[in-house]
Amino acid sequence: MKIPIQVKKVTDFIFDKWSKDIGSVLIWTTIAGWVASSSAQILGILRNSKYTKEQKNFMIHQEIGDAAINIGSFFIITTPLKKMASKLVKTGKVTTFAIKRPIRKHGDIKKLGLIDFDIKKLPYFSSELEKQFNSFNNFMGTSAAVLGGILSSNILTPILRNRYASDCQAKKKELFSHNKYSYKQISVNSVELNNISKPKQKKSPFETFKGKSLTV
Amino acid sequence: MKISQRLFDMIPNMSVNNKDRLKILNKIGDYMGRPFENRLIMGATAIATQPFIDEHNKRVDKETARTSRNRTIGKIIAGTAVGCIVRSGVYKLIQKTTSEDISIDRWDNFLTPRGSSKVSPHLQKNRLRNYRTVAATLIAMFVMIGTNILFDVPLTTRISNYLNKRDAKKKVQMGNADSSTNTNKYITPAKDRIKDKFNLSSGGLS
Repeated sequence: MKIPIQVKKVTDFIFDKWSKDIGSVLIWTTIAGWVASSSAQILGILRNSKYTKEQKNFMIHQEIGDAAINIGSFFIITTPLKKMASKLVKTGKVTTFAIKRPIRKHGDIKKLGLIDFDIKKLPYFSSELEKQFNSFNNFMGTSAAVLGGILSSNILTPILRNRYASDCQAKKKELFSHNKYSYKQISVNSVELNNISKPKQKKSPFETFKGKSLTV
Repeated sequence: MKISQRLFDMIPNMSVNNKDRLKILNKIGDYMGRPFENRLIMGATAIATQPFIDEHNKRVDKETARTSRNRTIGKIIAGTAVGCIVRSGVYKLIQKTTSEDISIDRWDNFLTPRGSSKVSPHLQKNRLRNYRTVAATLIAMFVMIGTNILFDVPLTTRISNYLNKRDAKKKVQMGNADSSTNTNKYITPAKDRIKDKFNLSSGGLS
């Protein structure tokens, strides 16, 4: 078989652009996924005939809030947690005996936990040490991502999105009732104005007999 | 910088010194990072927290809160099921089509970047692993735009409608039970019985 040149170009582009640092692309794909999912769910709510107008109004705002707050809380909670976990491993604040062993051997044990210390930049960062480091870093990073994801997407987002959706619903209700009231006021006023602008003119007594023949 | 170091010092230095424990932790990290398992963990925790939060939303009436809870349950079940299938499927597809051997064009190296052979062997493994993750995520994203509309939304609607129906049935049953128990248990107070018997007005004896 022959692989099309377009496929080769696309795979090379992905490899050159994102294989060194996957962080940014993962963030953007996650955000795109949330936006796509929420848009589809909004369509689903709109098409579901079994919901009342009020329920639809609440749930559409809930979906919009879900996507927006998910994105916000991802940047506020998950990303810093992941960065913090990476920093803890990189500086040796949280480490393992297998990583510590060569560091102790080279007399750098006191540097562990210093904010500027970077295990990856050590001259004796061998492939064996790299393997140990990557495995532990992977555990810490994944744990932080899962913890951050649970905190932000499963706890904070539902609380805030419900608050946002109910506020929106209440505002809409208020606006609707206000419009209804003002409509009534306007209609009453317009009737009154019409009455004022067009006062009933008194008919002259002769007008009553206009066109009628008088028989004596 | 000094403040950062001071803040950093507040976290105690920690070290995993047990070989077996380290093995378990590394396995957990590997397990949680897999697309299927990761989605499953998020789905399981979501179903444990989100419906509870939705049901106890006191800013809306009870019926809206219950409907939103049912829709959340439907959305989590549908999203987790479809997400797990799509992610693991795409991840497996990427694994099977990104062989490191690119001497001849074959299905098992269909998605292998040809430029990867130019990278030093020490870095190649790590960069190929990253490439697989990115490629799987990108393909899964495009696939999921389609599956969101084709499977997620109809499945969410079905599950939430089913749960709403069940809730409505329960409500009717509870209403019937309440009315029947009320009629059986209602005992007219003695004072009222005397009033009824002698046709007295509520103001007292007159």
